[in-house]
Amino acid sequence: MSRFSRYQVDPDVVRRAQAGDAKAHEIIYRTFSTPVFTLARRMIREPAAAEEVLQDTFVSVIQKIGSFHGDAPLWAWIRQIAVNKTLMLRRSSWYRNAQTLEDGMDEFVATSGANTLETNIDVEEALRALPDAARAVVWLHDVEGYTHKEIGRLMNKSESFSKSQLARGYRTLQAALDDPEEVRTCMRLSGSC
Amino acid sequence: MHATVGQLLSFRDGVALDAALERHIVECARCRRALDDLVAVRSGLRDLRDLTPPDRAWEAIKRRMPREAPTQSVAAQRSPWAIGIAACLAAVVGVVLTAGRDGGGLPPAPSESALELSQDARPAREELLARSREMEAFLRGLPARPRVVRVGTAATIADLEEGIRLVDYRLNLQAESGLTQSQSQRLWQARVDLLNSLANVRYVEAQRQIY
Repeated sequence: MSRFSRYQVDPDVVRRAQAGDAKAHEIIYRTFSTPVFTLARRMIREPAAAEEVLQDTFVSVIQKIGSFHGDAPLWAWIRQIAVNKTLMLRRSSWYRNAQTLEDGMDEFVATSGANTLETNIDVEEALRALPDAARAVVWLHDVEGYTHKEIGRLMNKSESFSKSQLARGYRTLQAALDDPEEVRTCMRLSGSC
Repeated sequence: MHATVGQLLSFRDGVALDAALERHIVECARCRRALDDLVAVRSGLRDLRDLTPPDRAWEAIKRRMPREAPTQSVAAQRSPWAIGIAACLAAVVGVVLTAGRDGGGLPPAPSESALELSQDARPAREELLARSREMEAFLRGLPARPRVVRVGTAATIADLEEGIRLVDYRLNLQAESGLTQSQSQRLWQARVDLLNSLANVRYVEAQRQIY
């Protein structure tokens, strides 16, 4: 089940947002900004680009909330916009040409116990070390629950492309988790292993 | 012969495989271990904590929202050159939105538009790419943006950046939409114009920051 599904807003807030109530827009933002930003940060490396996706997503959400009919849950509607914006940004030459910005790993420090912390950082770093396409597929498939067919369609590729990227991603993830120090060194040196 | 990562992932996700292969995965200690590892990695990914966006994001979103009825205070804060840039941006967006549509080429741009250049007068695509790179290098060299900015400046910069993204989006679709060389050149020209405007605004903003 998608992480987004943990977040809900009152239907009345949606109705008010559709009527143009600025306060309702902010409530929707406050409710869903974390899963949207998390999705963007997991799928693209640069914090600045993830923030761009966050902004683009909510500008669209607020502009298009009137067309939301409630056929699907609000979280699913917002997630779809966020995924589209993320993939669109990933495809842009602006993103591809952008310099890799600061690593920003400090913000990933978790608050739980030492073992969990170490594990989280290992997984986090291993994920970040994946090539762009594999990272996006791994996250969409294994965390957000998209099917290979859906991912293929979203990325303008085939279903088998999604499957092969997932397998590729897992091979890299496992190798990285077996030797996390190598990943850390690699990330420090190039930022684009 | 052991199962591949792809086969193990399919097995993990409940996709039906060849019966003999499924039996092998269940009975083979090495494949079972590899499968357990795949499940553990997925759990690790799902357990990653959520990330909180920066506080400034909501303010930036509010600034970018279209103003159905712009207040005088905001409109008044836009300087004359910003209004000129907005007009130029509108023309550029028009070019971008119409470029590459099925069944037709670009409509002729208005003659007063800065984009209207005769074929001979147009810089070569390579030159536009080089200019684009120069502008981007210039922008990267500017100091970080101030934390407190004028509303009009912020809105203008946001508009220009949105325009550049729009051009980039269209350029990225170039292969799929089959843009002609001329259309592609116009888009690159639009990109250079927008970057140029953005560089001017950012430069003025940076100067204000210094003095």
